[in-house]
Amino acid sequence: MAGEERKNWRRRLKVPKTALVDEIITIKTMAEHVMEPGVRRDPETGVIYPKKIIDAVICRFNGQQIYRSQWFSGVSANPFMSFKMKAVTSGLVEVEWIDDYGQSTYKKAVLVVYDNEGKEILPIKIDNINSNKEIM
Amino acid sequence: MFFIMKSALVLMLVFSFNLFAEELSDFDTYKKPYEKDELKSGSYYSKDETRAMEKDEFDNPGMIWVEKGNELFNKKMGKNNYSCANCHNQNNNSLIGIAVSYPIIHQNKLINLEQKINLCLENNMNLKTGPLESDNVLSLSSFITYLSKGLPMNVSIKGEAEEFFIRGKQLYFERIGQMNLACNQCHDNLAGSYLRAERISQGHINGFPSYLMRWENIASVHRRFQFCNNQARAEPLEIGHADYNALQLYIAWRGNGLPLESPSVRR
Repeated sequence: MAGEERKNWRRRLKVPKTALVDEIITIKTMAEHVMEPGVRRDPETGVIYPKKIIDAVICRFNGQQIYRSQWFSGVSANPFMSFKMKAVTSGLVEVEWIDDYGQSTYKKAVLVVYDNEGKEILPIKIDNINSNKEIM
Repeated sequence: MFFIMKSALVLMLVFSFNLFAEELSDFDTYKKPYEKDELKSGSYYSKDETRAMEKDEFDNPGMIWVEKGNELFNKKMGKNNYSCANCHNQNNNSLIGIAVSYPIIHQNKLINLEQKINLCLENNMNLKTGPLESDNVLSLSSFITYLSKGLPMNVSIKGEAEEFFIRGKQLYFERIGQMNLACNQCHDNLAGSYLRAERISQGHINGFPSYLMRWENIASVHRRFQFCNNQARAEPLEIGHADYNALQLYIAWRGNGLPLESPSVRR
């Protein structure tokens, strides 16, 4: 149990499951990370701990980048970040965290948006809904 | 002149010893500093932002360790290929409510939850266990403590635990370090007033293991005790020491009745 190195660090993403159209929703993220700034020393040996931080966080909605932030040393460990977004269509929210070693991890969630009549707004427009009948 | 001074000194000494004896006779062992309705947990004294962070389960960074502990609890480990959930079935929730009664007596010794987890891993699962403050042990202990969140603290000091309780009380009132401080001077007499930018709490441990922002990590009660000792410029004991367990028993007893709120967030 001791000395076992973990590879999959924990990432957390919170997106509301449903939203009304034109509503402003909050997306919360948290990453488990040491965020070593590269200036601290080991108290016994005096060796500098190597720098290891997350330097970019990207959010994509349906494959399109909607948010990007650049981080530098000085961000606390286990960083929490939240941002706001206007709900237009339903779709897939993906958040990606990129290390300064180039390792990237991501987490995804699905958002469903309804209009005022209670119908779901789909990201793609389908002209002929009954296209299945033609195939039959 | 010299004799007069000497006799005066002796008189003073005798007088002071008499005072001390009177204090001791007034000293009721089972008297709590706070009544049940006066008890206030540490989050009462922390700032609004910190309290909001603690309340929301997503914002609380301590929940990372709880999730990790949940994963470890169901993971099969060791030579026997057992997981903790094999014996303590998670659906039956046999572990709900056990965390409120720690530290407990185990084979004539007082042990806390982390030591109990290590013992269980060694004896039943044939695992080589790490130090008490390691990440895996702490995440398991914070998961088990989280199962009994909201239940009132209920530590027993009867029977064999009584001698440890008296030792813990003695440690609580003992002045230590270069600052010559005892725990009760701040946490009994000055609770609520400011110490630099922070307010002094009543010193209850119902939020542990808790996420401390100064270490950016989850910390056990014993690590917090070490930090307290450092602040009084005393030499801290090692984590898992018998004296720290006795002190933990006394402090948990004086907060009996407070709801458990681990993992809490503190500065």
